[in-house]
Amino acid sequence: MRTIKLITRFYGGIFVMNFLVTLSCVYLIKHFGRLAYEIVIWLFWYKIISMMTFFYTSVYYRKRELYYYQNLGVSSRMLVTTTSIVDFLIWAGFVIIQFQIGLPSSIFNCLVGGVLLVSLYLHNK
Amino acid sequence: MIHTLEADGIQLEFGLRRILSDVYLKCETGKITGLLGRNGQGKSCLMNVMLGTLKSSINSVRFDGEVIRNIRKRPEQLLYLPQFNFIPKSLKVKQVLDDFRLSYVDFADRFTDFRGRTDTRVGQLSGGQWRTLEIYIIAKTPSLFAMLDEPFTHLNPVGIEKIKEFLAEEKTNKGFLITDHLYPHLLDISDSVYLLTDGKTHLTQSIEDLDRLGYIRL
Repeated sequence: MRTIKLITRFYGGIFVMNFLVTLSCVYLIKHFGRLAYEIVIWLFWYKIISMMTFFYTSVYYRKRELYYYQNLGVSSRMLVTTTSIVDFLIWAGFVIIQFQIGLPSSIFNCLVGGVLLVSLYLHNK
Repeated sequence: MIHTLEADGIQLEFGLRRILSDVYLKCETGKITGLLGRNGQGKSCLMNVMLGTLKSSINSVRFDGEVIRNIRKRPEQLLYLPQFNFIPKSLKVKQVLDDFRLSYVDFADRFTDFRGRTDTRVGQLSGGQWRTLEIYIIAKTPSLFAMLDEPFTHLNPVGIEKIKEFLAEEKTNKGFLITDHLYPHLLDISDSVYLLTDGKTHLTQSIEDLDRLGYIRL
């Protein structure tokens, strides 16, 4: 339980940027409509590269904090691997939902607004 | 039961420069082992090699006589206090103690500066308070050994005395390997002291040995 809490805390620091990338993918699928199948591979690589960039930057700038997690039994490899998998699954989930049923604009706008509010809250905290 | 942690035959090079060449040191539970050395002699590198975060060409880190790898993944065996602040500054004091399953009441009883500061964020603490909290969690969390890299940094003289008292009490629960440049304090609390010079460790018996090996001038 404590491990999950710690991984969630680490992920919280990079969630907003990663989720905005996911939402931008959803927006592009929505925008391209039927042609969206042709750009899926590009969206996949866009997600992978941006995710690697965010994780690398996060680990680089927070490398001192990694000793905190290490002393609690959570290695940096475990942090990065677990959060990468979770983040990719979130991306895949949203992309599949968009292809299958299409997210209504109202929900999409709520998600964007929610993410921006969360980032504002985290910034002020 | 007394447990031992040994570092033996560690060799470390950065390019052509050899940092560690003939290192041996031994820590035991119930004792404080001091490690002294001038800047750049490789004290922190040695701790990182022992921890497994720094790869060395040859090393043998033994726990109870058995070679171990990746001890950093076993905090129940070894905890590490780096020389810089490592607690995320956005966390609250209470959150940190909860993460390590330590009691806030016990902590505030010992370090009275922290009374009523459960919700204070670590980033809002002074440098000395921040360091005190870090030392407390590493020394108090159950484990067999703890390595403290420059624990007295940022602490005022009264704070150092409190920490020395605290470590002397806590050594009944674990073994400590401590390095710091404030050698009189380290000598006060250490049961044995190694001096690291020219890549080699020397077990010293007296302050005269430190003078003879060029660490201090008497």
